[in-house]
Amino acid sequence: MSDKKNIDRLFQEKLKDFEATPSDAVWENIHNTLHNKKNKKRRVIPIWWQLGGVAATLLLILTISGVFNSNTDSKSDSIKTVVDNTENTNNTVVSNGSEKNNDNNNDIAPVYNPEEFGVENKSNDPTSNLNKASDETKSSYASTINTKNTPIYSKENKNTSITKTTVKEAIASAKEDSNKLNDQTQQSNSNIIKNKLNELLKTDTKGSKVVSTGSENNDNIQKTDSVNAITSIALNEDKNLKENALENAIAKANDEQQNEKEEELKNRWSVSPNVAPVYFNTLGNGSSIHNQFNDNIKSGDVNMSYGITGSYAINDKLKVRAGLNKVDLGYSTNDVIFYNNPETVLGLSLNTPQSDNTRIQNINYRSESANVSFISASSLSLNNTPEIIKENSLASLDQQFGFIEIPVELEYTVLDKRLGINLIGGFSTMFLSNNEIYVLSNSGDRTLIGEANNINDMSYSANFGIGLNYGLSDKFNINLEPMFKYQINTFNNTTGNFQPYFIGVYTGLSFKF
Amino acid sequence: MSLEQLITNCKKNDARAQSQIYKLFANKLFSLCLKYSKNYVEAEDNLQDTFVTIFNKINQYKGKGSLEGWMKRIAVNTALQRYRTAGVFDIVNEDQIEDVTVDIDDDDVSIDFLLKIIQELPDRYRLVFNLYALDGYSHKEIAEMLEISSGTSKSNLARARLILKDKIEQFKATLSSQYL
Repeated sequence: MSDKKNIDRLFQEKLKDFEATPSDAVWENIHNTLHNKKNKKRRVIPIWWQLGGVAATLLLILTISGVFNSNTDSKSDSIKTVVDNTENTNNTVVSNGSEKNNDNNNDIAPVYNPEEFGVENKSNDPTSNLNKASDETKSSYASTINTKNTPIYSKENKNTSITKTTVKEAIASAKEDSNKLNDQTQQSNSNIIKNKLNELLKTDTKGSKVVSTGSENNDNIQKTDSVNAITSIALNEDKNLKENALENAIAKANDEQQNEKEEELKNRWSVSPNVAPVYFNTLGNGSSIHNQFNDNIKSGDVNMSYGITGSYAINDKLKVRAGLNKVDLGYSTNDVIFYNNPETVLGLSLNTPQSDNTRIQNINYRSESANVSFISASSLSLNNTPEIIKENSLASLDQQFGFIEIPVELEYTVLDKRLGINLIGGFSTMFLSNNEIYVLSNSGDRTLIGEANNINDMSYSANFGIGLNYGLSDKFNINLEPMFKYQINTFNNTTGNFQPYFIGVYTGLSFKF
Repeated sequence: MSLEQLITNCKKNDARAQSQIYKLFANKLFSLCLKYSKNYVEAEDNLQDTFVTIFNKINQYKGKGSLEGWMKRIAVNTALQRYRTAGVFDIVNEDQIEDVTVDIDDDDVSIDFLLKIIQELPDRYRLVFNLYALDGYSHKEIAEMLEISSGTSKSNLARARLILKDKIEQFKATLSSQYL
């Protein structure tokens, strides 16, 4: 009986009650996806938060103590103490505050070395504290495991000897497995193992009644549950069956834990080389060199910074990152008059005595430049200034300094599309690596005259910025991060309101793995 | 255990309740996935993704409408997600659209055959045909779901019907030639 049929109706009628059974693997995948993910969310992250918290607190303490020191100690004091501490006391020339003209590089060098020792010791502090902290957490894990184990042992004594051996085996292997894990996931995974054991054991007893002892501690209840479950197995089934069940349970727990580990590590890390033009300047009027230059116009230099950053994604919103950057900074103080031989200008009417103004305490002069003196052009009455000085001696002081910068920052994801937006905040620890002062005359000559003695070997900056990233593929991102870094204790004896900062636009290519 | 109780337990991420829900609905949803996918493997993938979404989002199910309806919508969305960006933009003159009928005996064709020819349709045709002819969505709704115009939805449906009709008629021809 063949008849004309609307094709929609044909399919509708035929497929109306159609059902099909998927393979068992589908459910296993679903189950694994759901429960591994949930465990990860619930247990692993809080531990990272704790460690992150410890790190952040340490950084804060370091920063505060750093600021405090730079406010209370004068430069000469700090040098003196460092020299004393390191027993390298063969050189005391600079410890007096370096006012003498005959300071030269040879004198300075040994002083800086011991100071670097001091710096290194300081920088070791956070790591040793971190180690301590993680040791503490470790031992607390260990103790929780031990206390959890105690009720099992005490309970099992009351039970048959058959259960005793199997339980011991189970616990021994569970312990062994948890020892293999790394510190961060130790607690969570051993919890998982225990939960899995409980779960599977409960299922195996097929509803045999689990008696709770009514203890107040939740862990104890859990543990006694599992012990009771084991006891009832012992009563219901023979030894072999029970051993198999436990072995299966342990094997399964191991598998899941393996899966979870793999899942966790997937694409959490990324590494990103970066390069940035950086612009340095000061927020207020002031000078890092001498108070006579407070009101001079300062112009910031644009230099380069380059380095590498590694980051770890705590969750899909938050990343911690740390890096190593080389950064060069510099600025010029304009409208400065310099002259070589003090005698030639003695005839000039200077507003203040020469010794105060022309020798600058914050500079350690090279021996070749020992006779160079500076005054701010604004302190001279221009009418009195000989033409020859105006033409030949007007110059700018060009201060250059470089740091090895170690930024530690948090990155919060605002938009997570192909084009992502992040907010970035954190601190940098900076180690002085380069320190020079030049005179740049209007005729274009650039002469090295010495180095600043008021830049701290270790200083800090507070960093803020916005990150933009564009996904090239699953693994690669292009980053663009305009950052503002406010330097906290870079200079010691600044005058006026000298607040150094630098701005950098960091571009990089990050690789996830 | 009642369905409500199972749902409540699922919201607590209880593995046993999840397993029960899966057992209750897997077959129905799998047939739906088979119709919307181009082969068995893809259908299983879709089913897996569907249930993961269901259990992750079960807190959003407030008991309005049947659980099965809610789950089916998730299954359909999961299938659509896979093809949302696939672009086939055939424009068919809407005048061509008419009821496509096929001269066939109900018992001649098996469910497996019908399923096979649905799966063989180009992705978009298959989705539109399923949504409109089998699951009762309107062209307007389909247009929104697939991010196409409703004109495209109509033309896709017409193409799908023609392809299906051709295949059934070919099948009939081979059947009758076997009987000769």
